[in-house]
Parts: sequence; structure tokens; C-alpha cells
Amino acid sequence: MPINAVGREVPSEINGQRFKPFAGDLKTPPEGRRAGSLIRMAPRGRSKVINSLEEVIKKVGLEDGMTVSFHHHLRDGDFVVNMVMETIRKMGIKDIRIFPTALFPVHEPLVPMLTDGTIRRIEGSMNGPLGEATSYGAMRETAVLRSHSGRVRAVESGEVHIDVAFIAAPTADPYGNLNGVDGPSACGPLAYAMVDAYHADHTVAITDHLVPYPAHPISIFQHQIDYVVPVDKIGDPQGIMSGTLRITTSPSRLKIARYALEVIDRVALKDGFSFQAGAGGISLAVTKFLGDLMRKKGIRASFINGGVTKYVVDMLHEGLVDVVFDGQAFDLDAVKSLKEDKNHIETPLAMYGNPYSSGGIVNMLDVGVLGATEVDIDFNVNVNTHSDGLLLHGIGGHQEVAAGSALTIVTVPLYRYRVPVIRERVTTVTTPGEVVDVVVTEHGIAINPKRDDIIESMRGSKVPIYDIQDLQKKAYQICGKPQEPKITDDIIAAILWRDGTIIDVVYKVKK
Amino acid sequence: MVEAGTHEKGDVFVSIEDGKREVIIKSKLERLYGEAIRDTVEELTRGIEAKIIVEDSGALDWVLRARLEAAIRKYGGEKV
Repeated sequence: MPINAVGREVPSEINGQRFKPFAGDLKTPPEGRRAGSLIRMAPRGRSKVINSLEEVIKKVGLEDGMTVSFHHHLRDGDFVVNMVMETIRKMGIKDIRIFPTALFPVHEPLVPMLTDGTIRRIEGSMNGPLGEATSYGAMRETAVLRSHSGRVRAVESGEVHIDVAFIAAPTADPYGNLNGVDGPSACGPLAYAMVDAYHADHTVAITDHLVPYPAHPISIFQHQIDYVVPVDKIGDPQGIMSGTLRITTSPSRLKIARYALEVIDRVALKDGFSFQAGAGGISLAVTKFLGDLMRKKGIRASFINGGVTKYVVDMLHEGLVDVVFDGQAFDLDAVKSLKEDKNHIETPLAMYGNPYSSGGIVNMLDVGVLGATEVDIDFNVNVNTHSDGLLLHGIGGHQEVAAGSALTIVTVPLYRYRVPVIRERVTTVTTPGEVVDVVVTEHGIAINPKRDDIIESMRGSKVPIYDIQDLQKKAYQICGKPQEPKITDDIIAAILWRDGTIIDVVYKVKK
Repeated sequence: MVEAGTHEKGDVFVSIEDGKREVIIKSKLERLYGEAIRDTVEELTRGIEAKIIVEDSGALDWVLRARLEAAIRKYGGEKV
């Protein structure tokens, strides 16, 4: 098997499909033309409303071996994936490839379908039980994980063809105009589903809030939706919205946020700058502190790319930022603002960071603050597997934000409980060290040696600066060197870089 | 029976009770620190003829040592 640019041995074929080894960011240029979907027609007077999932699955002609897609705007409150897959299972349709943007613990009912013949493989993020079951070898074929933008690229390039897209729609009209800002299961944007609506052969919207024609605002337009299925509930608002997200109260996490803020202040903070926001505890703290600092210094940001939360919306309303780009809303303040504020813009995921496009939002980002489960002495980052080898998380937008941002900061504790976070070698490479600039821990920061400019800007700062090897040694001193976990040679998942090359693989774990 | 520690994350729970020597260790980090935990428990409880249960929730080694020592002292009737 070839060795790729981050030193990992990777196969050249996954599930019978050829893939190139990772060669470095943007080192593998795109080829060909964009892929298309089946051309359909809808004569005047034909209703799109179908009252049962079984009937709609028959109408779209779903057969054994086909690919169905889902989006994750309803997150851990989603009912749609389970209800569709349960219907497919009952109908006796086999060997389905599921192509979700992400699955969550709420989708645990899919675990038995990995072994009963319903599902042959999942290509998408698997947060929790499905990832764990896959790690122990439950999935018949090999899982493929892509970043948010890498997934868009895969659809546009024809690497993945979607037969049927099932789109959870918090609001729909009978002719298929959809939005996510109204209804009992409101989630904000429908950004993840847009590429599926455009490129799938058949599209089915599933809604619990059917409104008279025409729905407005419109996120996904009627000419892309074949059928609309009304159901009682598409999700549980408790799992869709996070409630009011709280900034971390942990002193060590707050210290990490303050160190990160100092790096941003010295390296990137100027009028008109831009940054990526998220919903993690440290990320929220950085956003909040950055807002305070901007207010104090009289600085305005040109845009924030979200992960939108109340903290981002407050900055928009206060005039600290001109525009918010929204691919995902985490709380009700964000949903309300998307509906009401004209400078809060819903952005298709194709615009977010697809490297094979005419340029994504990430290319305009000055600062990206990201998390990690592990970082190694080559600045490689792992967000997919835990240190015991279990595949428990998706990639999210980590790759494109890291690759796009002028300043990429990874904030991590030196260790979690007893597990060192800064290591000699990450268990899985999600994002290569070449696109990571600064690693910030509660003990101090490490700057990627190739970023002389950042090293220069940080001169004279009170933030302790270490070689990353020293941070790693410190972590091992405190925790003790971990044993090598027992894994096998069987590949259970491939991790693709945003350009579709294989950056790493995940191996089956022994029970 | 004596106890020390908790089941909170980052801590370890230790109990010692009368009986034939038996050491039972459960850890969420078995795959990464199972051997290290076993070594520390053996080192600190050597010669103690009792049933020793260690339930680890990701404690650092010095936390494990402190909890073990507290349990051993209680078991030996020492007043702290």
C-alpha cells in the first residue's frame, strides 16, 4: 500500500472505488465536469404530497444497493433518519449505502441494520454508537468519512451519486419549497441539504409543518423537490437546539481561551478581520472574549462564519460584525436572527469550503479556532478517533477551516483525565500539520516552525511558548506513557482529505 | 469494608474488605493504562490480605496512589 504525504500507509481502493493517497493540501488538482442528476418533469396539477413513507419509497423506485442521503440540521433530535431506515428495513430493501452529513447517538437504532443486511455501508460522520459498532467490525463494507466540504465535492464530482435524498424540512409547502426557520422543529439554515437537493436523482422532503403555498422564506426551492411527506414530528426540539450554550467555567479551559485570544490579538486583530466561530466550550469563550476585546479597541469584524450561537448574534446586533455567514445554527437566538436579520446569511455548504470550486468562504477567513482529540509533534490533528482507537466523531468543517484560514489555532487541554492530548503520533490523521499554525494548551502554546511571522509577532508575549515536543513530554510526564491499544490490520473506515485523497484509515478494534 | 475516592471523572474509587487476597480492577482507560494501573495497585497493596476493588474513571497516577493510601490507612485502623 502507498505511503501518503503524512506518512500513513493507505489503500488505493476502498469498496472497489479508486482513491489517490493524500499528497498535500491542493496538490491533487480536480479533473472532469460536474456530475448531474436525473432530469424529471412535474406536469401541472400533479400533487407532490404523499401521506406515507412506504408509498413515497415505492414511487421513487428505491431498490437494493442504492444510496440514500440525509442531512444533520436536526442533530441529536432527528427522527427522520430512523423513520426512513425503519421503513426501508420493513419493506425488505437490502444493501443500502447511507450517505448522511452526520449521524448522532439518537441514530443508535441503525446499529442492528448494519448486520441484518439492510445497510452495507455508511459514508458520513458517525458520532457515538454507530462509530463504535463500526470500530468493532459491524459494518459489512468500509465506512468513508469526508469533511462537510469534502462531501459536497464528492457529490459534485460524481464520486458519490445519490439515488434518493430524504430532506428533513422544519417548514414545507405542498409544492416543495422548504425552510428551516419556522415550525416546531426549526433548526435555522438548510445549508447541508442544498447539494443533495440539487444532485440527487430523487428528492423527498419530510415535514411536520406544512404551510400553504408558497412557503417563505425559501431555502430549498420547489423545482428540486419531487415529493413532500407530512409526518407528526420530524424531531425533538430538545435535541435540535442546544438551549443556551454556556461558556466553559473550567479555569484551565478559560486559560486556553485567553492564550488563544492573545495570539489572535497579536497576529490577526485589525479592522475588517474575519473569523470562524463554533459551539464548543473553548470556542464560545474565545468568541466572547474576542467580542469584549473588539469593543475595547473599537475594532469591527467584516464577517463571522458560523456555527452560529447567541454570542455571535449579540455581536451582529451590537454592530461588532457586519455579516454572519450561517451553515449551522445552534440555538434559538441564531434561528430568530437568521429569519429577521438581513446581514445574517444562509450559505450553501458548497460555498463554505469546497476546494474544487471557484472559492469558498474559508478562503476569506483570517482566523480559525478549532478543537481536537489529539495533536502530535508534527502538528497533525485527530478529531475522529479516541486514543484507544474507537471511531467516535466526524470531521465536521475542521479540514477546510484549518486549510483556509490565514491563522489556524487548535485549542486543546494538554491532557484529558489521564489521556495525553499532545502525543508523539496521533491515532488518526484528520488534518495535516501543514495547515495548523498554533497549538494552544493551558500550559502554553507551540507555534508551527514554518510560521516565522507568527513566532515574530509573539515575541515579548507573556504567553509561555514551547517547542511542541516539550508540550508532548510534559503531557507524558503527568499522565505516564500510554500503552499501544490493541487494534487489528482490518480497515473499517477511510478518512478522506477535503480534496478526496486518503489521508488516513481507521482499523478495527479488538473488544 | 473501607472506601476512598469517588466515581467522578478523573477520580478513582477504592474499596478494601476482609477476605482472601483478590485484586479487581476496572478502568475506562484499560486499553491505554491497564498495565500501569495494575502495577501501581500491586506496588501499594503488596502483602495486604484482603479483597481490593479499584474502579478507575481516568485518574492520574498520583490520584490513584493517594486514594489507595487513604483506603489502606482506613483499613489498617489508622486515624488521619
